[in-house]
Amino acid sequence: MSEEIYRVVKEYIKSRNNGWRFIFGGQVFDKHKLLKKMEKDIKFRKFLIEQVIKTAVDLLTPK
Amino acid sequence: MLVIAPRFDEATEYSYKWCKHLVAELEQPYVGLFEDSATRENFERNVENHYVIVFYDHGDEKGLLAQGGHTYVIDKKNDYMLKGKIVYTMACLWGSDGGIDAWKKGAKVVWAYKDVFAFTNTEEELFMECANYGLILYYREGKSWEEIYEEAVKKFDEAIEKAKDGWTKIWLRHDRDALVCYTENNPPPTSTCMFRRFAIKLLGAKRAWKIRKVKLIGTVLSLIGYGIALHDFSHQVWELKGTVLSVEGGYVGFTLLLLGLITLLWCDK
Repeated sequence: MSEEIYRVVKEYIKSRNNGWRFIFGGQVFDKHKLLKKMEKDIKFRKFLIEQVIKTAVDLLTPK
Repeated sequence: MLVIAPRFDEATEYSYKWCKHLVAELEQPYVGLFEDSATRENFERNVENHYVIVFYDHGDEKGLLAQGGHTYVIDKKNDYMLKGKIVYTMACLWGSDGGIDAWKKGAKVVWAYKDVFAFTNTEEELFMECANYGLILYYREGKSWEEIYEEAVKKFDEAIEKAKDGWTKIWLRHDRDALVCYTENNPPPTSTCMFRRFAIKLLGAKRAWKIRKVKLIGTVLSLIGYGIALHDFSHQVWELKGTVLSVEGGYVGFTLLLLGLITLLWCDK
């Protein structure tokens, strides 16, 4: 399941334009940097997958 | 209002812009420590004259970073200067430790994030609106900080719904969950101290934070001393009279001491 989420996240990031930025605290990523980080940093990859799951749970939780 | 906003990297370009937007929207008098002025020395020189302290941007568990990012404007060594003040920041992580320390040392309100603050530039305005919303509510509507926190969470929820991009939704949700607001009525739910964490679990955060270390040590020592003295006195009575149950002035004294201690602890609540 997390493999599938990782694949989708990667596809999503790849589809961003060159001006796209993701600011994570003090780190600023463009799509290439973020893909590289995800590839190398397993902990970060797990963290991103966790965020996707948490958001899905949140969106499905009645408010 | 004292507004501190360093600007030295790509991330602070955004926060600096958001901060400028915030002060323009507030229309309140303020002293600004921007860019090169965002230093520890300037903060310490100015803090005394201000009730509300605003800090945008970089932070970590220990403190809020000064211009250049190599030193702290506020850390555990000078956060006692925030006593009685409102601290409003969008800095990462400070709410997980440094903000708790500032609150412990008497900061009236600590508005911070216990995790990294993350955002994208695609729907940047949604993140900015959410980050700035609490202070705008404070000045415009004069609500309590507990109410403001609830409203801010709702604002995040609205932004999540409004966001067109999935990635934006993810990080708005993440930032919403990282937001903390420590007040007298809403103390931190955790602590770096093992005993405090145990007390929080046992009594709940509100009661547990009222227990002062010195008071706890004083009470425990008093009770141990009381127990030793009572045991010794009873033993003497037993040696003299063959029973510990006897009407003695000493027992009256011990009863009065106990009542006195209970009264002191009760009055100090």
